[in-house]
Amino acid sequence: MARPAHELSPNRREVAMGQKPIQVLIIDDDPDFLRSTGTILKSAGYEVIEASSGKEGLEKAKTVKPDLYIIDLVMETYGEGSRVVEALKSDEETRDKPRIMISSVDLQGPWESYKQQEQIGCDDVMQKPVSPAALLKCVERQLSQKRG
Amino acid sequence: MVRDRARVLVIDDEEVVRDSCARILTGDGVVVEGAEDGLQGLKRFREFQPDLVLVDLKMPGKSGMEVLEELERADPDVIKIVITGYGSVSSAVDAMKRGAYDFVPKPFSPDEISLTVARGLEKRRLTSESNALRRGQERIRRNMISLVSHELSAPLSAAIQHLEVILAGMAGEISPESKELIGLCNGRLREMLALTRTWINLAVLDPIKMAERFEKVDLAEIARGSMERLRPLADRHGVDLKLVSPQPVSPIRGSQVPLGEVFHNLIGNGIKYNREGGWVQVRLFEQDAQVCVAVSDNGVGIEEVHLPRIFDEFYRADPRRSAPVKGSGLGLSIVKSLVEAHRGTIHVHSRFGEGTTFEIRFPRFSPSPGG
Repeated sequence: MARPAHELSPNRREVAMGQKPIQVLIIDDDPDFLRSTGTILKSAGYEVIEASSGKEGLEKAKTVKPDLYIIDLVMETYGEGSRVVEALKSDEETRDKPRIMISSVDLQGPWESYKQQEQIGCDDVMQKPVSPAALLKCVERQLSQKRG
Repeated sequence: MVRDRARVLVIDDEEVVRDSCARILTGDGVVVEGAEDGLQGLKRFREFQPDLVLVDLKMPGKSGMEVLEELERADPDVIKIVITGYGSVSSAVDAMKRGAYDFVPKPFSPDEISLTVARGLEKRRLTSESNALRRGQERIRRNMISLVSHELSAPLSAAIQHLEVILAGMAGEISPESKELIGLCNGRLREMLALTRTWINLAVLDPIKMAERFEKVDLAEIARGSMERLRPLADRHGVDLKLVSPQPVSPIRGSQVPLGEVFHNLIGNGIKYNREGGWVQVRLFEQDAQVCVAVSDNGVGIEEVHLPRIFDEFYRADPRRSAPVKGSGLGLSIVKSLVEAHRGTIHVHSRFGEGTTFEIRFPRFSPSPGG
């Protein structure tokens, strides 16, 4: 039987070899999402920092300087997510780190014609609920792109 | 349309009539334009966009009645008042059956024209107001649904994601039986989430907003795209997909994504309600200045008793939870809404046990919006 995705994670292998763990900042006001996504990332060896508002997220971005951001589109107010993305994009210190947008808004809705990715300035977009394997794959892809 | 001054167009072959109407109505604060025959009148109508049109029924060339009918088709909200010949009440009645709001018989006094036009313009104002109110209400309803949808799908998403974490083994070991039960639980919740999203998408469908994004599209291209995406499903069911288009068809006015959804739904149904070795065919053709799409299959068909209700929301021919093909019953109501948002029509023909054909007709693309 195949090993689960998180056990095969390259990041986990690197951490096991003594590398500094990669830091991921998750910005979402939904505590369930913070918890479940945090568990997924931690099991693959990432260090997880949580923020439950845009404001808290931007503060932690400055102090922790994480390697990757996962941001929810709709927080307390619609569009708060995109404002956070704008701020991260315009700040020199944070602009080069990959940003993944997550949304519970139906991105497949054909009559919404969401092109959030291009409009919002994130490197990838995922739809809640995320499957653990898909999330890890997306995170790994983003990290390897930015490294290379 | 909100304007400072109302606009009236006078279509009459007699110059003296056009001039006197202009004099009388300008005195009432109205902007007046004239046209000397039906053809000129229709041309001026498109350019001037009046609130009200006075049409002489007795004109050489294009008759007043024909002009009336064309105005009614172009804009049913424009107020049309006919000017009738001496003592012809029956033609006035005919005109009103064809959409005229009122009539003024010749010879008319200044007061008669003035009052009749004033009443017509008042009706126009009230109609515009009630349309605006209705649109406002619709907007509020859709915003509310969007908000509710977030409240419904967020907890479902959260629950599903927790279960996914457990199923992925990231929260410790679980017994095989627990894994199975959690898997079933996850499956039902995902069904609920999908249904919630589908229903909400249908409820917030805004044909006017959608129409704002319309452009020239090629149905053959969209059909091909859908068929490519459905090929894996078709292969799994052992169903063959074919696209038939003897001649290239004209483009239509619409949006790629919603039209793709229409094809996806109909072709998908053709695959699912079928058997091993069956086929689904998409045929494109033109008929009566319309672009037609026929999606047919030689699958299980639909019993005649279900056909009248097949497009109803949540209607399912086989509503059992254990039915061979699962579905919410929303697919066809979405297809119908999307087709109608594209100013198309859809019909179904079927023979139980032999197969089904859905036929859609769209108007050809025309450069002027609303044309």
